[in-house]
Amino acid sequence: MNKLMKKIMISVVLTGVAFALYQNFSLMPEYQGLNEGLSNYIIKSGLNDTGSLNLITAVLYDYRAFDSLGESTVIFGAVSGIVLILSRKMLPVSSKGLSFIVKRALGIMTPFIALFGFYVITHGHLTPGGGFQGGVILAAISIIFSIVYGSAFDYRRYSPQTKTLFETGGALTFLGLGLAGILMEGAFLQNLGFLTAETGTLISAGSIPYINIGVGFKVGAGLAIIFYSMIQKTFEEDF
Amino acid sequence: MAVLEIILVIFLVFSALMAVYFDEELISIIFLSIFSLVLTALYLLHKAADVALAEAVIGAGLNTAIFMSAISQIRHGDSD
Amino acid sequence: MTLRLIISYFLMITGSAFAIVTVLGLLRFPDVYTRIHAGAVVLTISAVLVTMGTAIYVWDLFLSAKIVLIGIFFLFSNPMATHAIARASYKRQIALPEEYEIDAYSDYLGRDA
Repeated sequence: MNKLMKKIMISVVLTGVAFALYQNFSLMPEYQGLNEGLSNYIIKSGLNDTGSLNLITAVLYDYRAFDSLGESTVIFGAVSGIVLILSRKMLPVSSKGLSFIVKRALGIMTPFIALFGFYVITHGHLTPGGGFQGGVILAAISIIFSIVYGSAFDYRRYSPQTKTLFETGGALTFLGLGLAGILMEGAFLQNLGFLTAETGTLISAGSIPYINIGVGFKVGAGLAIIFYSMIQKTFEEDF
Repeated sequence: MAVLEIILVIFLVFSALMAVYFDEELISIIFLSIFSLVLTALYLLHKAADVALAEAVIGAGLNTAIFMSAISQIRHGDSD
Repeated sequence: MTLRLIISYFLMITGSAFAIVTVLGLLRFPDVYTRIHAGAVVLTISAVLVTMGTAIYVWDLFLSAKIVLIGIFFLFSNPMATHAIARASYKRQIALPEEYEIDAYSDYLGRDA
């Protein structure tokens, strides 16, 4: 009985996925000859299509947003594997950290590093940068906490539960924007039309800035989790 | 500009060879970091600012920290 | 060629000269601590001079402010990193001289852990 229910559930879900895929593929346009080449097309009309001044972000999060979803899934898989192998269920014990001068100077500099990370994330559609780069800069803050102040400080400030919350929140933001694309525009991860504004302002370019924020939190929290689970019992001597 | 590019490519190959050549892991990691920095300069020379930012942050910053923690775990182990 | 460009080129060339002096010091000095000294003092002023020259060269309010912030970041981070390296190599007793009369830093080691 239980097995039968499971089989019925699986077949229902698979039928739903197949129907959604069929609907999505039937929306694809006919093949049009791009006799000028794809890169020329993107350079010419990328700004009109997406409203993003930075064409690389336009390609990453609008034209090829599905590939970016796959990349963040790869990062999720890497984080899951490393945490599964390396987490040893022990309290975080680490060094007392570096000397007073380093602690004080990094205490002054860390808010500016965080500000730079958020700047790179939120201006991804205007200047070079974007979710991945800014996310790694945010992960560097957690690495600084672990090395300079000891990993117990990192555990108290941003516990692994908080990081897990950030990571899943970022991934859910990405997927939610994709589903909103299906509901409003008719295709998965289509750029949301009602969010467009004047080109060059901070809140413009449809859903690209929000996808950037989601990817930034996801990548930053994921890499911080990787580093934390690797460092847990390692740097015991202090320098 | 072409001279600068040739010098940078020679440095790139040199740092990659040195990273393979040395036996000690710490020196190899430092040479990998130098490799990433030279690659960043090359990307900037070809006006690919996004890739340069990603390479500088991931290659020179994050990879070095993760490799350092990895080799310190290897040294603390009793396996050899 | 206005006065502004001349000043910015002068600052950049001075910074580059200091960078060359840094490389000479790293190559010529005998042991860890003197090399660290060359890297800390001269490289910091070289980076700050180059960023100041660039800030004067572009001469736009927000761009110049960002470049000056990068210079201030150098002014903080480079001496701090050098201090960490020197302290770590002192604690590990790397390349200490054979005999010395005064060891002034040993009093300060245990104080700020």
